[in-house]
Parts: sequence; C-alpha cells; structure tokens
Amino acid sequence: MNSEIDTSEKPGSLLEVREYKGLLSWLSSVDHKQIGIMYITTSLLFFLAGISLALVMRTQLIRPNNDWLSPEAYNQVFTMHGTTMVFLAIMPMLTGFMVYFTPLMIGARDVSFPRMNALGYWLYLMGGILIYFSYFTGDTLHAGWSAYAPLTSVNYSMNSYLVGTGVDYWIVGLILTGAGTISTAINILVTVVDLRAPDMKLTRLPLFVWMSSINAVLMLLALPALNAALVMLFMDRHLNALFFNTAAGGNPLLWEHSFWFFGHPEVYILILPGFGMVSEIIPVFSRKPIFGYAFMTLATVSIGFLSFGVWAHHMFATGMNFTVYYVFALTTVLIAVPTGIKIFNWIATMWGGSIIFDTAMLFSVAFIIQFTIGGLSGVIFATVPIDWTLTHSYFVVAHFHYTLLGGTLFTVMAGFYYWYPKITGRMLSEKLGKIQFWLMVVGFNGTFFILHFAGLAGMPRRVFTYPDLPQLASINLISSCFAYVLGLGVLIFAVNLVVSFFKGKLAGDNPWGGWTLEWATSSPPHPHNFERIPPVRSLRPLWDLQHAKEQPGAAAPHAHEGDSE
Amino acid sequence: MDNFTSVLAPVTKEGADILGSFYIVLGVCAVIFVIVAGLVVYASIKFRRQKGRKAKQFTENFWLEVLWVSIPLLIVAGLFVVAVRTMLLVNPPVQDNEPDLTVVARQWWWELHYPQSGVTAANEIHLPVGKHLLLKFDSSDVIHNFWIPAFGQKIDVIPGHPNYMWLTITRPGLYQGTCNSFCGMAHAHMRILAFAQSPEDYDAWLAHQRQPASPPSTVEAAKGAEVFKEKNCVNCHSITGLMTKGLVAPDLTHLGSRTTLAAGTLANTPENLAKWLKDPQSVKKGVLMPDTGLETDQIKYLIAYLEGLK
Amino acid sequence: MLLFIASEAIFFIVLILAYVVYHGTSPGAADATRYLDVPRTAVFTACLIFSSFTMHHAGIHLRTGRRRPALTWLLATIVLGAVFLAGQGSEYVYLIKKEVTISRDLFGTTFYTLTGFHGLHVFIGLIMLGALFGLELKQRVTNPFEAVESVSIYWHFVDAVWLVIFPVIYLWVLL
Repeated sequence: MNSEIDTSEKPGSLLEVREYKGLLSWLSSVDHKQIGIMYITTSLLFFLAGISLALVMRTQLIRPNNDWLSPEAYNQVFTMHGTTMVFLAIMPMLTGFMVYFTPLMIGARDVSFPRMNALGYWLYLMGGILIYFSYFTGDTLHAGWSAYAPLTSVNYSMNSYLVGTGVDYWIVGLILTGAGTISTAINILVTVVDLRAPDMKLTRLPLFVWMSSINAVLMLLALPALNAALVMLFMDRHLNALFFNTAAGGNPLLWEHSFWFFGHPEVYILILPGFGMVSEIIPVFSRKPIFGYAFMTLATVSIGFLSFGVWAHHMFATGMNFTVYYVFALTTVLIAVPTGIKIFNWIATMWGGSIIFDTAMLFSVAFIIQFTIGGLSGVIFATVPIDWTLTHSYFVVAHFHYTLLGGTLFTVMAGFYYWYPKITGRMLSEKLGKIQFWLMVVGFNGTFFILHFAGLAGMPRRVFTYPDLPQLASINLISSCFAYVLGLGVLIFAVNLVVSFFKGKLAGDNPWGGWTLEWATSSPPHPHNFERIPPVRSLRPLWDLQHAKEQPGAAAPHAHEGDSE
Repeated sequence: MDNFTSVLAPVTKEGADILGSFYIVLGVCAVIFVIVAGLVVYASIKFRRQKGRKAKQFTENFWLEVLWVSIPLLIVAGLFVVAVRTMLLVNPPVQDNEPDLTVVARQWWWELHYPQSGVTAANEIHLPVGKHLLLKFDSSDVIHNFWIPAFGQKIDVIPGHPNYMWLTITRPGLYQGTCNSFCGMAHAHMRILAFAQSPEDYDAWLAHQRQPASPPSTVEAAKGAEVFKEKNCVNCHSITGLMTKGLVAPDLTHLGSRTTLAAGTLANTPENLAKWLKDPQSVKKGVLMPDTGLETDQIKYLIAYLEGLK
Repeated sequence: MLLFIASEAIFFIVLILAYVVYHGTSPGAADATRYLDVPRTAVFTACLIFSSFTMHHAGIHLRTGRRRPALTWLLATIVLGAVFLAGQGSEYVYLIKKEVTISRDLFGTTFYTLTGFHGLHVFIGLIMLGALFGLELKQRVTNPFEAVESVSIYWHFVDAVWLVIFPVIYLWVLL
C-alpha cells in the first residue's frame, strides 16, 4: 500500500470526519465532497420514488382492461416517472459523482467555485420539491415528460384536463434545476481547466474526468434550449402568448424542435459519466490499462458534437421534409460509430487481463452487453421508415430503457460498488451485491426485452390500459412479473447502502488497487483532499509509484485483497 | 374485433417494404450483437483471474482502432442507403394528388371525409384493396398520431400541419389501430378500425354512406328520433336527413352499421349503447360528451332509433 | 463568464429562431411591424453600442487603479444602458397603445419575448455595473481583473445580442 501517503489522523469512516459532524456542516457546506454526497443521497430518494412509480405502472398494465388506476392517475404516474428519473434521479446522481470525483481525480482541493457548487445542489433540491409539490395541489403534469404542446399550452375550455397548475409547477421546477445544472457545468469545466495537478497534462486526464468535462459542455449548451422552450410554454399558458397556438399561426413543432434540441443531448448527458465510470472500473478489475485512450477521448468528443445534430430523429413521424430526414438519419447512424469504438475498446481492455468479478465489474460487463442491445435498437430507429412504424410504441420504450436502465443505471451501480468505499470509508457487502446484480439482470432483461415484442404487436406507449388482444396480455403479464424482480434488486441495493454505512468492512485507502489519484488519499478523503499528491507521469500515477519501488518488469501490484500472488 | 394487429404481418405494400428493410437491419444488428456479446463472454471466461497468469499491459493498436471505425462506418452507410431507398418507395411525393380519405383527429375520435364522394363518417374507416390510396391527416386540437400496425407506418397528426400517407392495401380484412401520441385523458381509448374491402364492396359502402339516414321504421324508433331532437343532440352530432348541424362529435347517420362505439372502445350492441348513453364518462373517462340526463325509456327509444340508422 | 455566455447564447438563439420562423408565417406580422419606429430605435441602439466603448474604458482604468476615470466611465456606461432601457420601455408603451400586445398575434408574442428577455439581461447588467460602481466607490474592488473581466464580457455580450436582434427585428422591417 502507499504508506508514504499515510498520515496520522485518518478518518476511518464518514461518520468520524470531524468537519462533517452536525447538520449545519452539511446545510452550509461548500465542500465538493459533501455536496456530492448530498446530490447522490437526494437523487437516491427521488430514484426510489421513480422506481415505485414504475412498479405502479407495471401493476396497472399487468392485465388488459385493468381498472385499478384511473386514466388520470396513470397519466400522472407515467409523466412523473419519466420526469423524476431523468431530471431528479439519474442526472443529479451522475452530477454528484462528477462533483465528488473530478477534483479528487485531478489532484485538486475542491472545485473552482465552491459556493456556486452548493448553489447548484440547492437549486436542484428546490426544483425537485416544487415539481413534487404539485401532488399537494391535486394536479401534476400528466402529459408525458416531453409535455408536447398544444396539449400543455392551451387550456381547452371544454377539457378541464390540463387547466390545473401541475404543468406550471413542472415548468418552474425544471427552470430551477436547469439553472443548477448549467452552473455546475461551468464549475466542472473551469475546475478541469484550471486546477489540475502540475504534471497532469490533458493526455493524462482520467477518462472519467474527460467524459465529465464533455458532459459539462453538453449540459451548458442543451439546458438553455429547454429553458427557452419552458419560457415559451409558460407564456402561452399565462400571458396568452401564441407560440404554439395553431389558430394564430403558431406551430406545435416549435416546441418539439426546442425540446428535442435539448432532449437528445440530455440522453447523452445521462450516459457519458457512466461511460466514464466504466472506463475507470474495467481497467482496474482487469488489472491492465484502458485500451485505446486516445480513441476513447476522440470518440467522446465526436459524440459530444454529433449529439447536437441528431435531435430531429425524435420527429421522424411528424411529416417534415425528406431532406431534413436524410440529414438527421445520417447524423444518427453516424453517432453509433464512436459509441461502437468505446464498446470495442472496453472489450479490448478486458482482453488479456486478469479479471476479478467483483460486483462493480459484474455490473460493468452486463452494461456492455445491455447497452449494445439498446444502441442497436437505436440504429434500427435511425432507419427512418422503421421509425415510422415503431416510434411511440413499446419498441421505443424498450430501446430507451435498455440504454438508460441497462446502460446508465448499471454503470451507476458499478460506480457505487467501486466508489462507495472511497466516499464512506466502508465496503459495500459483496454478497448482497451479487444477489442484487443477478436480480437486476434477470429482472431488467425480463421486463424490457419482451416489450420489444409488445411494440411489434402494436401496443402504443402512454396508455393506461390496452385491449385484450392475444399477444399483448401475455407479454405484459410477463413484463410486470419481472418488474417486481427488478424492484427487489433495487430494494436489496438500498439495504446494502444503509447497512454497510454502519457495519461495512473498513476500506482503507485503496481497496481495489486502483491507480488514479482518488486512491492516493484516505477513505473518506480529508476535507482538503490530499496530504500530498503523487507525481503524475501517466494515466496511472499510483501504478507508476508502485513500480518505481520494484524492479522493472515485476509482477502486478498486490493491492487487491484475496489476490494470492 | 379479434384480428390482432402486428407489424410483422403487414397487409400493405408499403408495410411489406418496411418490414423487408426491418429484417435487413435487424439481421445486421443481430450479427453485431452476437459478435459483441460473444467477445464479452469469451473474454470474461478466458481472462478471468487465474493463478500464474498476469494481465498483459498493452494499451493501444492503431490499426485495430481503424478497423473498428471503418467497418461500422461502412455498415451504417449501408443502413442509410436502405433507409433512403425505402423512404422513397413508401412515401413518394404527394404533389397535387387529391386524397382519397381525409382524417381529422379530435380528442378522442376520428372524423372521416371522403372528398371524392362527399361522404362524412366517423371512426370506422373503409378502404378499397389494391389501389394506391392517399390519406390526408389533420387535427382540430392537439397532436395525435394515426397507426394501424398491420398497415406499417404511422404518422403524427398535428394541428395546422396537414400530413399525408400513401397506402396500397393487399389483403381485405379488419385491421385495428390506435392513436399513438399522447393526446389527453382518453388517449388509450382512441382506437381505429379499418375495413379493407374489395373495390366493389367499397363502392357499395360509399354509395350507402351517401344516403341520408333511414327514417325510423318502428314506433319506438320514431320516439327515439324525437328524443334526439328534444335533447339537442344535434348541437354536436349530425344525422343527415334528420338534422345536420353538429360538427364536433361523430356523425351518426349510419351508426347502426358500425361495429363499434366510442372510437373502438365498445362493441356496437344495444346493451353497450345503453351504457354509453346513460353515462359516457364511465365508459371512456374524459370524453367530451356531457352527462345526458336521459331516462331509461328515453334511452330505449334512442337505441331503437340509432341502431336503426343502418 | 464566457461559458455562461455560451449557455445564454443558446437561449437567445432559440428565441431569435422563434421570431424568424414566425415572421414569415404570421398573418399579423406585416401589419404590426408598421408601428416599429426604426430610426428612433437606432438611436437607442447607438447608445447601447457606445456603452460598450465606455465599458471598455472603464475596464482599463479599473485594472490600473485610476479611480476617478474608472468611476466616470462606469457611470457613463450605466447611464447609456439606462437610456436604452428607457427607450425600449417607451416603445413598449407606444406599441401597447396601438394594441400590439403579446396575445394579439405572433409578432407581438415573439417581439415582446425576445426584446423582453434582452431587456431583462440589460437590467441585470445594470445591477452588476452598479455593484461594481459601488465597490469601486468604497475602494473595495479586491480582484479588479476578475470582476472587471466578468462584468465587461457580460456587458459586451448583451450588446452583441442586441446587434443581432436589431437587424432581425427592425432592419428586416425595412426590407
């Protein structure tokens, strides 16, 4: 182990850190680690809400013509499920990891603007609370997370459906969280530019930091489009503006364009940090460096660019000009290529390695396979006429759950198992982790793979019930049963998180034998992060440190416990 | 109502073309998946930690990267070509062609106009087999979407932005579909039924639809016509030959000859019609038809009248 | 600040696009735009442009610690910005009297939204300039380079946005 970095006063677990004791230290914190933890914890709570909403949906859909939920209730549920998962659970969870680990991995004390960092968190929390507050008014947004106008913009006098204030809470809540996201994005970018350790050239930047930075650029440039769209919607609703009012010459497609100009980069925002996590985890658990670092970085940059050029593929069925469709179909198939590069590079990283299948690695490997399925179904949609047939059906529901759940969520789970020891000082239970993993793999694939067939059988999305057509009943029944399995897996995860916090084995500085700078300090890190930063001569500072002490050509470090060499 | 609809069993030329390209793309994707998953599984097994073997520390291989950039590029270029080819095949330009059917989507039903014969109908579409048909779509309120899976493609129905679809149906039969873009509370109940018929049967249907409503043939039906007038149903519903005014609700001139009620939600039987007339909200929550306050015998007469409108 | 400006730029681009798209299609546009007084607005535009020059000079003096000139140029910038806003406000009053409102037609909707948000950004800029002025008055500008740099860039951005909005709305009318 790195005994030269040891100091006398090392906190063994998060509860023991003097500076973090007491509620006030958290409420007033500008320490990026505390803020990161707050992001992650809050997002976990919203995630549990989102999963519960999902289970409610699958329960309603378990049999045809089910009347357990009324249409309004179901419509609220699916809308809040989407909004919660995208804006209040996954994005902040990833932001939390970004905010926690970026300074550590570049050898900095904190971010460039610590107070703005705190502001970002509190804006997120306030926005989330506002959106959920709408439940108390008896009316939540119930038009899908994409809230298409004019359904949401005009109060049809005969249709009292959307006259309620739910939409407005949603709009204002999202403007708040969006502002928080933009400020955090600025923070991350400036931190990475300004505060890197002296020898950490950009070519030695860990991939997680690269991907977080490009992610920050996406956040910076995509969220304002959403804000503009929300502003226009709000004005239509309350100031009698005419943006989406067809009678006056307004165009509902303006909403779709603005929303999806944000919406597509948003889904890359939801995956890039996950790509980064997996790019850190796979090398460590294969005991070899990431393969193709340069191509990985270039691929990520091109994904960043291209992600702003594909948005209208969400609008292939709107009857626009074919020239527009050609352009977007081309960009959409192109964006598959850099993603493919990443997949092959991860496999090449595993190749020839000495792979240890701890829970973090299990989730990473499952992610590769599942994300490939999701990505390929995306390529299917890029073929425009097939999109004309299958969009807005359960086929697309299956597609985006494969990328967001089978993809992002699995990377987040991997990230948790990898970094929980660093954050809290204690290990998560591997036994519970493996149970959780298998429940999630079986539950997730069981729930969603079959939904591809529901789409092919003609089932539209966003319906509170469906008729008793032969295939639909059995498909939905199977899917709902597996959904409970998935829910059980998440429950076990929650148990693991809580129990390990108090009873988990103490982790020490570097339980996995990782090589990036966050492992060069205690678990949890001191409030000021590092006592001393090791020299950064490559992508793997700790590897170099270990090998400088040994003969050249010696064996791999003995950092991983249970490693019998 | 037992024909299930599936994208995999298309009954239009266009649907078949799209399915063809779907299988091509699916095939390519399946191969890619098998390769990727196979490599992952192989690597997981072959390179798991074992005594006596150390991880090899290689970090890059330029030509390998070039390989897995260029091959996917070629593949996606091929897929793009497939897409363009099918797009042009399935949806040639509309130009000045007059539509054979104009569908106006409303919350939560479908208004139908056959411009070439002046027929107005609702919810149940009839189309001839074997002709290259042009359908036009418009919405009177929010964004809807028209999808009959067995026909293949769907199209958004957007207010202020008419859309078009070409269809060449190859097999007669009954095909079901749905509104496919969330349009409000009763979105799930906005279903579509399409009857594809031989050209002769279709012409006969059109001719019949052009007739005004059959006058009531029984005493009860005559009383029903009175109820219809008294209760001002005509403010929303039209019956050609009796009263024509209402534009915002389905045309009822030939209600008796339809197989379903409430945009495909209920089978058209007297019991179901009674249920609907008594309390529309209990059948299709959110529907814009107000509570009619009809009494039981008024309902009985109305049913006699309406079911007689064949 | 540059990054923040990139973000705000996207926000304005979406609103500008909304204006442009609807300008072609809105039935009321041709009618309403006849109330726009292009020469008058050009004068106020000139004020805003000139305020960028005054800001630039204020920046130089703030950085080199020359208090008096710094305060003078800052004050000039604030005054010019305020004049611009007053001009815009009086234009709004005139248009509303002529019944050009947000809900009248798409011109009203997009015009007020675009110019309104720009005006809001000018107003926020004036607040920041005021803060800078106050701090300099009390000789408490601790990090002149950063503070001046940030406010300066923001003010130039607000000016630059108007340099796009003015042709798009006002000069287009003349075509």
